[in-house]
Amino acid sequence: MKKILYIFLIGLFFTSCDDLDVVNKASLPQEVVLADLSGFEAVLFAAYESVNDFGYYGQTMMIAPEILADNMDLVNLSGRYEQEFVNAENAIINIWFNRYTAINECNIVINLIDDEYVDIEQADKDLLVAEAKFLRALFYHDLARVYGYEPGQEVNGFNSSVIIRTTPTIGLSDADDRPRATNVEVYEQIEQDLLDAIAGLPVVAAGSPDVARANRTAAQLLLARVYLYWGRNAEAANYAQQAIAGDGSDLVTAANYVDSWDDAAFNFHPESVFESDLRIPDWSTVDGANNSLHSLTMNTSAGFFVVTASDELVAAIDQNEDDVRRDLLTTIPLGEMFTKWQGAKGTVPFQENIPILRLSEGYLIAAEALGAGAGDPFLTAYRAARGMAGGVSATVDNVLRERRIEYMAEGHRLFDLKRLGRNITKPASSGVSTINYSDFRLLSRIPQSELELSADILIQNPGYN
Amino acid sequence: MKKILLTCFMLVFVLYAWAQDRTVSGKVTDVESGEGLPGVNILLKGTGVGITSDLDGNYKISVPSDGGTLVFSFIGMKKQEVQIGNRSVVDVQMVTDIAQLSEVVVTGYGSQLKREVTGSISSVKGDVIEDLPMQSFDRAIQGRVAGTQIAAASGQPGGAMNIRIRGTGSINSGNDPLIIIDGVQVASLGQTSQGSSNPLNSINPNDIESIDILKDASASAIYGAQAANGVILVTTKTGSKKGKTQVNFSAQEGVVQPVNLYDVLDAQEYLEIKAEAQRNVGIDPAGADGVFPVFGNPEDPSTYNEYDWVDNMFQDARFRTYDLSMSGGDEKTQFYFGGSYNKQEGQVRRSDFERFTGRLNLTHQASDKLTINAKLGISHLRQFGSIANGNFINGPWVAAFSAFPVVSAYNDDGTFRDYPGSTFPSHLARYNIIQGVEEEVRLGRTLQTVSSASATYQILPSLSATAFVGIDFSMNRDDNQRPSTILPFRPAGGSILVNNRRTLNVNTNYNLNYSKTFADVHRVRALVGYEYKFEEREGASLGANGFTNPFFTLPGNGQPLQPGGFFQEYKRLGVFGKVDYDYDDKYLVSATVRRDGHSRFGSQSKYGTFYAGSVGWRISDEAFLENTSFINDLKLKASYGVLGNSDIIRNGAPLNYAPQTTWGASSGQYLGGGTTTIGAIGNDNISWEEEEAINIGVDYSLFNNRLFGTIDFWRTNNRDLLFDVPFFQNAGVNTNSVYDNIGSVRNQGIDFELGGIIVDRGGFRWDSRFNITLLKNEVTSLIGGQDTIFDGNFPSLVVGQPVDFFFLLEYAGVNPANGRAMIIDKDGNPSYSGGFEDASIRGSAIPEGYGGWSNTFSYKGISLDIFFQYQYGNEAFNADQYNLLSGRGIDNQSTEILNRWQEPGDVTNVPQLTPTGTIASIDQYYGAIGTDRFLSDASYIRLKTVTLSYDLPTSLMQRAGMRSARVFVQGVNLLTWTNYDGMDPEVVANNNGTGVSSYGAYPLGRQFSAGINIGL
Repeated sequence: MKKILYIFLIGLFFTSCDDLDVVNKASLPQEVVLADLSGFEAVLFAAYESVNDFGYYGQTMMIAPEILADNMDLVNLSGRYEQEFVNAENAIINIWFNRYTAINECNIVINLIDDEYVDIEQADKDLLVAEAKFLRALFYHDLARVYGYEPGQEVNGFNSSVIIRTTPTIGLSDADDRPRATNVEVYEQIEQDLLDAIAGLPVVAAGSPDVARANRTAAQLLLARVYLYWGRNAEAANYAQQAIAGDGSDLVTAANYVDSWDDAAFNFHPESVFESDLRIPDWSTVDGANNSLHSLTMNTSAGFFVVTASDELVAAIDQNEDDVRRDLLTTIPLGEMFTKWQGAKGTVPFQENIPILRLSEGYLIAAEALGAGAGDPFLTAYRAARGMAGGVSATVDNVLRERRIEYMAEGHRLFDLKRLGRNITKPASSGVSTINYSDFRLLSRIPQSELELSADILIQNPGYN
Repeated sequence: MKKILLTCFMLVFVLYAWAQDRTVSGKVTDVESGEGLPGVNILLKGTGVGITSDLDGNYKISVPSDGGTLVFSFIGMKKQEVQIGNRSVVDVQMVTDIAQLSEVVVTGYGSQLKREVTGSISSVKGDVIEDLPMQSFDRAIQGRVAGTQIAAASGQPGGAMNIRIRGTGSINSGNDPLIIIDGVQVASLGQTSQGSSNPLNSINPNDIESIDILKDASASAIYGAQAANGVILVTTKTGSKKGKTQVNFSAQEGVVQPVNLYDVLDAQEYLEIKAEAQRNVGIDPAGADGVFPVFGNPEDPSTYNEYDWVDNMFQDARFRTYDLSMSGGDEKTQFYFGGSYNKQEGQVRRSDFERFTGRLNLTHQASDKLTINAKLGISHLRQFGSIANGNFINGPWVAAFSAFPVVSAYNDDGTFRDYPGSTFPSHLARYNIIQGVEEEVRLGRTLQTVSSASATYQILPSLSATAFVGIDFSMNRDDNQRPSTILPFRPAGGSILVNNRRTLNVNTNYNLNYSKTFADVHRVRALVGYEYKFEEREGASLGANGFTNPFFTLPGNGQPLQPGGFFQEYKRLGVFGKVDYDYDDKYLVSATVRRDGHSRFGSQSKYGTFYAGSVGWRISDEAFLENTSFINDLKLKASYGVLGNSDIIRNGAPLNYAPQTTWGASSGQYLGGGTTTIGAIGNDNISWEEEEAINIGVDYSLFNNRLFGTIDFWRTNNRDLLFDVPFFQNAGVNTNSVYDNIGSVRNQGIDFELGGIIVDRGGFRWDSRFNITLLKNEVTSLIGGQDTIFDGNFPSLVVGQPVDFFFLLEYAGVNPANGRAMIIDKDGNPSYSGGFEDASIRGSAIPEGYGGWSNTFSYKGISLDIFFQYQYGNEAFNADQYNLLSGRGIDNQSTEILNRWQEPGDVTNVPQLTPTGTIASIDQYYGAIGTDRFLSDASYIRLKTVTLSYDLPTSLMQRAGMRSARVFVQGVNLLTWTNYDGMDPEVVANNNGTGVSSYGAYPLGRQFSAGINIGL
């Protein structure tokens, strides 16, 4: 019997070690994760991948700016874009959280890559940092145009833009309370990042798989757009022309334009200079049907088909019967269906790469920035690529018509009207009267929880309470 | 009363006639087994003379020449008083006393007589829940225990329950009590994710001997850091030393019916309603954009195909249960064996629940000092289910009500129709819900054992040592197949997702028990112990799509997709001690202390110390009450203590690594390369959540034990709440919050239990038990002195309010002049539009009171049990109405929509219909914020169970060679009285993460069953 007692005591001894150490298999320490090139690349890739999030260019940034403006009709009620269609008060574009998360990933790359424990060649470091700066510029550009007015276009002098963070949040003390910077400060930040990116990035061939990563042409084109929004037309024209020169690629010819959207044949749009690559593991089995651009714009059989081209957009295209882009719309019983988002890449339905910056924009920026006369050749060259005759003067209105149609279902429309201070004439079918430029709904609401956390140094956009 | 007085007089008389000159002998036997009963206390009434019966039940005692009265008593048996008269042999048969059995309660690491308990413990005995047609015991004890709120999270067979002991103490950490089955601290998460799953499904309720619920600090402090949410101790049956092996067999068969389903429009009404909406905005329903060409013309039934989706989706489901148990043993070894099979179909067609359980409980006396115990349980569960709660197009409780009543689920040839879309606008993603529940595979299978082994060594007569190890181990596999026969899955070639999970949860403890009585009146019991626990949960999942044939069922037959996996572990250790002292059974004192360490907390804050103390005064034993004959037992008690809570929960799962900043692989890829990001920021200072609990109560038993119960007044202050403190989204971390110890909540209430034998005359007996808990819950402080915490634009916590509330606009009805919905704005005026500033707190989901009332009427073997369960003072938001009463779109609608406003002067709550649900760009149901139009009082009283049983006469049984036989019929959820406007006021909370609203919730069905229970 004593034996049993001993076993008992030995058992007690064994289990009484103060062992409270546990393993989190889903995580590694920072100095292990960020020790080498592949570690930093993985963080950068997280930022790249976020570009095709449904809350960003994967859906929101492509659809919302169209339906909040005048390019889209709502034809099905599934809870999607119903409020946006009628510009309800809180039907806003909310990219706040998902962009700052991606910005933090860029900040990690830009700031931590020089830490002493990091073992990476200097040339590789420079390239990663240049890519991260391009992405950061893109993200701030989108934040700035969603949440603030463009410099010079302020309503009642309201010039608050977004919060600038250029250092990473890796501990709670980094998550400090900050005020919004002015729009000019944000634009200057974007400008500086893009200038750095242009200096550090290589030139790649438009429409090649290389445009899935940041490159010099993409940075030039984005910088041209930022200057155009900023009203600095000379610089806009300059960088637009550098982007057009790019690697020497031309626009798709009019005869080939409609086919160029066949993403089974062209995984990358031939005019793309920056395009987000999408692959099978990016989605769960239902993401395609629930959220993809293809599902929302084209799939009448197994998707959540909700939007068609508005009558007003169709009328704008029909002004010119030579416009080949008319063939990117198909007539169905419910209306005119967009056929840009064919979802035919690879074996998984609904999937396709998401073009973010296309070469055509270089021509349209150059034309608009240089204006009637000097800009005419760019507009003529562009129109030729869409089947239309030249001889049209590069006035803002003429360029704006082309932009509206060129980027239909690509999310430019609201921002083009806004940067020019134009009113939004809503489609008749929405039953919503014209929204003046000064209407507070042109700026999105900053998440209320951010304001609640702030010690009153963060301010909401006007009109929201 | 007279009898008592008479007895008292006799007692006095006997005392005077004191003389001791002859011997009486006899044998005490158990009436059930006929065997001799050892250890029975035999007392000569009115004297200190007493002895105990020997191993065979024999006794011998000296008595006065004129006889007197012998009192026979034995724990668990009915006390008997026998007049000796002039007999010299007095044989006595003892009968089991159910009421007395309840006097022993199981406490942490031991048991105690109820009369000695100074904490607050409620008990339910196994026989109360025996043969109830419910899969888990938590369902069976609903409403039977004061201070314990139990509500179904789903009406699915085997579905989960929400248990709250004495309120909701934690804001966003765990509120689930610690559940201990035969010493095994079981995991609180269900295994399968196919449908709603209850972690207690592996225990057959018929194997349970008793359930003891530790409610206050004194009772539960021995569990220290796990005790703040209360403790539920479940003890399974054991064998007996008393001779013959007893066999019990029961079989039961029944039916479950859906009740109170929403009434939706038929085809003609549907078409008329949609046409009216179009006419209201100037669209001609017969024109090109109209509903008639697409859906059909209400005037012409040949243009549509009427079909009742609701009727075809839900079914009267069958269920059956077979249960076999054997128990017995001898002096050295006792055993209990139980086996059961249970199959229950769900109310949704094709869904079912099937379970096998097995149990072997063994006790062996290896020597006169060493006792070995093993309790082995195993179960296999198979759930084939539709989606339990919520979800949108593929949830039967949503889609069946909103599907078009103008098309059939079937083609003319009997095959499933693709839900229409080409000529109809796309709806429900073209998912045919009836085909979905028939053809989608949602299968969860779980093999689980909750088992333990222990050894007790009697070192000294007053000192023993116990070693215990318990495991809760489960393997689960979920298969989810979406075949390409279903239209939405066709483009992807169907898909299969397989999930394998494994949970290992071990706890072991070693303790020393000391018990001694000094000088007859000073009784001391002490316990010291050490405990270690760890839990590992891990899983791997893989998916595939692109199947060339919908009948392939293995992922390998398709193209690979989405590998996934997880690993979670935590460890805990503790040392504890408890001392109970009483003086002469009258003055009771108890003190407990426990020190715990937990891996979930920061490096400097891993350990915490918890304690409690209590006092009791059995006032009924005092001399000044000795002559108050109507008081049998009266005890005043008070306790105070500080307990801990370590259940950090984020997104419904325990958060085991809160102190660490996580740098991990995020799901997804770019250009084939993996992605990494900072997932969450850690807080190394995080520590225990504490609960300060105070309880003052009285236990009473009056009028010859015919009236008994407990009243407890309690208050808990939960502080240092583990709160997921948000930080700025613009800081750019995916999880924009860190856990910290901030904020406090107060719960206070009264638990009232009252039992009585109302009638006991002429063989007729009426037993009644009633309990009520009054409850108040309030947030008392928040982070940094704030008074409100926001979740997005909505306040989620407000100081002075309960932890759950509804923040909504106040609905002002419909303007009779123009049919537009109105709300009351912040200035108190009716308005067509409303913003956040106009909204306010309109109610709470936390009830003000709850309880139950059971009644047993018995007469000569016939017994009728009637049990009511109720709660009141809580509101529920019926989000189903969002779809069913919106008037917009093409969803089918509840028939309530027929009350819509049609012309000036109509007084109604339902606004004018429009195709978009908006009038003048204003959403008529205020979707962004919501109104209290769909908020209703979810108080209810439910006739929960009625059981009518008949015990066949013993004489008849003996001839048939049986010990007993009982036939019974029973009904569950028979009637409900409520003002709630949804299907079931019980299944409303926290469904599918949609907050405290019922959306697509699976209601409880009405059950009828009949069965037989045979004892051999």
